[in-house]
Amino acid sequence: MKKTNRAALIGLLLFPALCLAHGPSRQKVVEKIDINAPPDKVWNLISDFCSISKWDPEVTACTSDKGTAPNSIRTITLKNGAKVQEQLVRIFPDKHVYQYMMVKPNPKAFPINTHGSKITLKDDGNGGTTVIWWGAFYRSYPGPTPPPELSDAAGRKAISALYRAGLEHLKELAEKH
Amino acid sequence: MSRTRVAIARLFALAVLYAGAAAATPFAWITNQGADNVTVIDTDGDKVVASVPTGHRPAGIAVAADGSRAYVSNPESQNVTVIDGKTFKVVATVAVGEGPLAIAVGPRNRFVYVADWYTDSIFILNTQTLKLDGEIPVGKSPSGLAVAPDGRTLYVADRDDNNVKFIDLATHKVTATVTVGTAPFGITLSPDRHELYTANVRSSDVSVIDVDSGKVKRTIKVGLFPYTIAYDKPRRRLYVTNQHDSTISVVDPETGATYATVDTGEYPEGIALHPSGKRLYVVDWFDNKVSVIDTKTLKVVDEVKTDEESRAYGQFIAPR
Repeated sequence: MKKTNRAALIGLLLFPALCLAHGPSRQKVVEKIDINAPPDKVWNLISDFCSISKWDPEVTACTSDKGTAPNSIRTITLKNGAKVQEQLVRIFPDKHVYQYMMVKPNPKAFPINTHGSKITLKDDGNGGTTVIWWGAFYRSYPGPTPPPELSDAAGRKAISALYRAGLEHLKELAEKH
Repeated sequence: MSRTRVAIARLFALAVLYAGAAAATPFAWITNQGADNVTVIDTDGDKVVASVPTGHRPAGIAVAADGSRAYVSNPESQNVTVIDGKTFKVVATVAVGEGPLAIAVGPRNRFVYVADWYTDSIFILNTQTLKLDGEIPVGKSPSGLAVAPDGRTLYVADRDDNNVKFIDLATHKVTATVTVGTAPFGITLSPDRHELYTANVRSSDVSVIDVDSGKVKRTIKVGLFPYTIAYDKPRRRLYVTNQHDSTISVVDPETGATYATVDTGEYPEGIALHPSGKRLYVVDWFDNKVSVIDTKTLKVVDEVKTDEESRAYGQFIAPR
C-alpha cells in the first residue's frame, strides 16, 4: 500500500465522525446465480442469518446477538480478520427474502459506508432457483478524490467479490445431495 | 358588439387559455446517476420525451418555477448542467465546488443555490450571467436546501451536524440553528413558509420545525432511511420516501399520525407532487423507474422506465 493511501486509511480509522461522512453517489451491485435446486432447499441453507459463514467462503466466522430475530446484529469475520456488524432489517421466510444493513463502516473490511443489502430467491419455474443478491452503498472516503483502494470502483469490486463467492458456493451446496 | 359575438369572443378567449394551460403541462426531470443523463417525462400521459446528457453522476435537480430551465448538480464532475426547459438543450456547464449535490432555485429564477458536500458551503449561481456569485460557509455535509418564497432566507440541512441553519440571504449570516433528528437530508418548506420538514435518515423520523420560533414542534416516526418529503397542501399531508423500506409514509404534519404506508419500487429517493395535486411522482433508484401514485387512492397508477440509478434529488417538477 502506498503511504498516502495508508494515511487515508488511518484517517478513516482514527476519526469515527468521518466514518459517518460518505461519497455523494450511491453505488449499486447486483449478482445473480441460477441453482438447480428448489427454492425451499436453497432457503434452508441461508435462512439462518448467521449461516453466511457456512455458505460464503469470504466469511470465516459469524456470531449474532439474537439469531434470526428482527433487528438481530451479526458480526461477520472476513478472511483478512476484519469484522463487520450487520443488522437484519426484515425477513420474509414465505417469500424467501431477507434484507440487512451494515451497522457501522469498517474500512479494513470494505471501503464503503451505509451498505444496504437484500437476498431474494425466485422460483425459476423449472424446479430451480434464481438467487439475486444486491447491495447499495457509498464509498466511505471523505473527500472528492479517493485513492484507488478507497474509490467507488474498489467498493463495488469488494462487495461484488463477497456476493459472487457466496452465490457460487451456495450453488455447490444446494446442488449436492 | 352583438351578444353572439361576445359569446364567440369569450369562447375563443377560453380556448386560448386552455391551449396555454395545456402547453404548460410540466415535465418531470429525472437525474440518472448511473447513466450520466436526465430523463425528461411529459407528465401529460407520462411519456419520456427526451434524454439529456449531463456531467458525471448527476444527483440534484431544480426546475425554474416557470419551467424555463432545469439545473442539474453533478457531484463527481464537480459542475452544474443548465438545460433549456423547452428545447432540452444544454445551455451551459458551470464548474461548482468539489461535490455539488443539493440544488434549489430562488424566486423569480434569479439565483440557484448549490450545496457542496465537500467544501461545506453553499454556492450561489447567477442565472443571468451563469457565473458564481457568492459562497456561504455552512456546517458539515450540507444536503438539504429550501428557499423562502420571498427569497430572503435559505434553509440548509447539515447532515453531519444534525441541524438546519436559517441563512439571511442579504447578509449571508446564520440567523438560527435548529437541532433536528440524526442525519437530516431532504428538507421541504410548507408553501406558507411557516413550517419546515426534515427527513432524518439515521433516526428514521421527520422533524417539523416551526419556522417563526425556530423550534422543533414535532417529531414524526417514519420508515427506515427517510430521504425526501413532498407536501400536499389541500390534503395537509406529507409524503416521505423511505429508502430502506421501499415505501412512502403518508403522514399528517399537524398530528403526527401516519395515514398510510404505500409500497414503491426499491430505494425510493426523489419525490414530487404534480401541480394538479392529483398525482405523486416517486423515483425508484434501484429499479430505474418512476412510480406515479394517485393521491386520492394512494395506488400506483403508472410506471415510467427511466435510466440507471434514477435519483432526482430536488424539486424535479416545476411547482406551478
